[in-house]
Amino acid sequence: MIRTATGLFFVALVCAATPARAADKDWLTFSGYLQSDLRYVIEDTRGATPGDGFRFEMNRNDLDLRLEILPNPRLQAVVDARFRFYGFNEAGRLTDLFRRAKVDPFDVLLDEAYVTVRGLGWKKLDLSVGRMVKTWGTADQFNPTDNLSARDFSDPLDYTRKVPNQMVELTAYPARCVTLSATWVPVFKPSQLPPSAALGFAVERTPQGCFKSAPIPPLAISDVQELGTLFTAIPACDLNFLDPAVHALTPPVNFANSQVGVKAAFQAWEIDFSLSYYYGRFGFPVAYTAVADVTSTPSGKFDVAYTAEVLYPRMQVLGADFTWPLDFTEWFDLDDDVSFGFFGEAALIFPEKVVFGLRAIQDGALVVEKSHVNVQPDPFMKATVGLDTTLPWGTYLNAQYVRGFFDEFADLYGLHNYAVVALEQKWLDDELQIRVATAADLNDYSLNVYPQLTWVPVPGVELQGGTFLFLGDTAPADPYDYASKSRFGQKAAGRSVAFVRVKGSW
Amino acid sequence: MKKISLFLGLALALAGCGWESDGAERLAERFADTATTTDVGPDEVAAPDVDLGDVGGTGLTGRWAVQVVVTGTMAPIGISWDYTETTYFLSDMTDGGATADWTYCDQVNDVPKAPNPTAQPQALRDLLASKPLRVTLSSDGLMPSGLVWTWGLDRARLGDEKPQGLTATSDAVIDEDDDQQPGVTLEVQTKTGGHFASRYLARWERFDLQAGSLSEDGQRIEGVLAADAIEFALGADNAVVNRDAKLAVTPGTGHTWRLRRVPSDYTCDQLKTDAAGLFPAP
Repeated sequence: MIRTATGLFFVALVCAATPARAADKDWLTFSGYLQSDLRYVIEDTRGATPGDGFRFEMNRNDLDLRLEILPNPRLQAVVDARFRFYGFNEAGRLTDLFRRAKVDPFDVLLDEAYVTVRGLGWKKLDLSVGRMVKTWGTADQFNPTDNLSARDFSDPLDYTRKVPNQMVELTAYPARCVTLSATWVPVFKPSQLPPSAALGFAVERTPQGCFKSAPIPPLAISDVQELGTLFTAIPACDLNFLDPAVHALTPPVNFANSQVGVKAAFQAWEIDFSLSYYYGRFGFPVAYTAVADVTSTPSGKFDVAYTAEVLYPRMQVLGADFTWPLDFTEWFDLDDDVSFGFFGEAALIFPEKVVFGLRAIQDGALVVEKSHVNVQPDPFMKATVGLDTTLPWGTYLNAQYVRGFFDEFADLYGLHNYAVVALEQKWLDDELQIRVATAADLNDYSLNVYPQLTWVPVPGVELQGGTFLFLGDTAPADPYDYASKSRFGQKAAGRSVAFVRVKGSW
Repeated sequence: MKKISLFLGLALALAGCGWESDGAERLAERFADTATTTDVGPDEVAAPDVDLGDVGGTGLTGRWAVQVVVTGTMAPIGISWDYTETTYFLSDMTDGGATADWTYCDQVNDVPKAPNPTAQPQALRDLLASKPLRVTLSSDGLMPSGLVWTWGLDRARLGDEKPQGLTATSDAVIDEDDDQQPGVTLEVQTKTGGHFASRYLARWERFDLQAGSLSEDGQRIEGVLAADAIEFALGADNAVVNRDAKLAVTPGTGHTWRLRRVPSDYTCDQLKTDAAGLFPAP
């Protein structure tokens, strides 16, 4: 019923847009895109079980429709919605075959739906209310000050997406070079994770289906070793280790768990900079509790039910960022299409202390009890500095040093250091483009590599092909050390894929 | 400079939020009714002294109740559990006072963290009671060294050294309780005391008693001992319990032996009843 109503809404959206274009009304802008993604897993070593791979991972079609309405200079309304068709049959039972949503599953995503009133009570004050996505910071994607909108990592190849949320924002422009904003997000929403994230808690099994290893809990190494003996003492094939059940603890929906952000942005000479403050929660889950419930069975084997809880720790963030475009063209007698820009961003994070607790129970009796401080309550820094430059022969380079990945917090895994580089080369008036992007973990030397070729046969149409590769050890360097998991090597990071993509925009 | 100070001041104020989520506390609340790992063992329960009446006798002559307490760790499922093994015997002089025979009466194994307690079947009790430990006394008192006690093993084939690597098919392993299973059979119980499984095992234990002191009234002798032990898992009727106990006796002479003079007609059943009173917690 809901989907039907949403579908009707989409039809109305398209119909509303069509006459607007025909009449060329300047108070209404209709845009959007159609995109088809086809991906194939090109390895069989990073799945839940050995040999899982060399299959299609994605067969997706997106229809995005965006409408911006400006009925008068003081009012703006924006609606941006997507139909997403996944392309894989999910009908597992005969009765499922009666339903299109099972045979051809889809989602309706409302990315934005908000209204902005300009000059509310004061000509330099705007109010925006509704479903929005906010982005703070000047770095390229790796924005540690950017915490109001959670990340949408459901598609590992599209890491720019965010989870929209309902919010209220006041923006003031007291001077030409000053922008002040205050944002209130009543209800916290966490980040969306890629499907591979579940492998971070998965039980490894041998090809024969026997127990191989359990997820490493965030405990002291000696405690994990002691815990390991609980299971290594038992023949692996006598352990029926069920797939862990992981529960994410959602904070209560009250004022105390609202998010608030205030930001002051300035412009001086060519430099843009801002100071910000955020009160809320970290959008990615942190390990909180785990229980291994071991039950002896009459057949002489053990059933092991592993349940874990994760939470979103509270935090406050003081942020600062800048961007500084440098004009070297006159200094070095360069062409006008050459540009350089430097940017930097830092966030001082004041986290909630999180103590991880674990219990192992055998036949109802407590046999192991461990705990460890997973997040120390001490302030820590996440930061990004980098440069981007456009060179005259169609080359674009973006290079960043990143301290702390999106989902890294000062927990037992810790913050890693990264080099993130993207290099693009365009030919034929931008009709053909090669881009290679990589993120390298400077701590464990794992990396992902994202080469792609784009052809623009006609304006507005992109044909793309490429690969997205994860390189690094799938197993932790130390099976007892929570922090020794390879950033991009661990299976939870994702699958290596080859892809083709077609996108038509208007 | 003022702005920097303000910024830092604000930062310091923020650091004092005191937010905390404690997973250990959460689990403690969630499993408040789960069996705890601490236990009050029988030795920790104060018991009144037992009035045995006028027990005559001088020196080491007569009948004595014996308590031997050995501590250590075991790790049948990998996790190390502390255990206290308290064994009771009745001692009678033989050979005109040159030796004493210790007849097995009972053994209490206190392993607070073990999910499943063990129990000795009557066949094992009868077996152990049927082969008293022959204790050779020195001229200056009770100080036998190298007192070896075995379960399910053929002493004649063992020699004097601590055995290693024995299996169900080893020559030294015998079906001593005559139940058609190797070694002896120990019962593993459910939490409610029902039968859970049977373990087949062999055990070798050695006591090196140090010189004891006789009380002024001549009714008690107490001393310390060094001990060693090894246990061999020989099988089970349930694979869950078919595992090596990995006994590790606490090194040194921190173990104790105690004798209490009892009437000549004192029985094992009385000893089991009176144990806490005969040997009150130190």
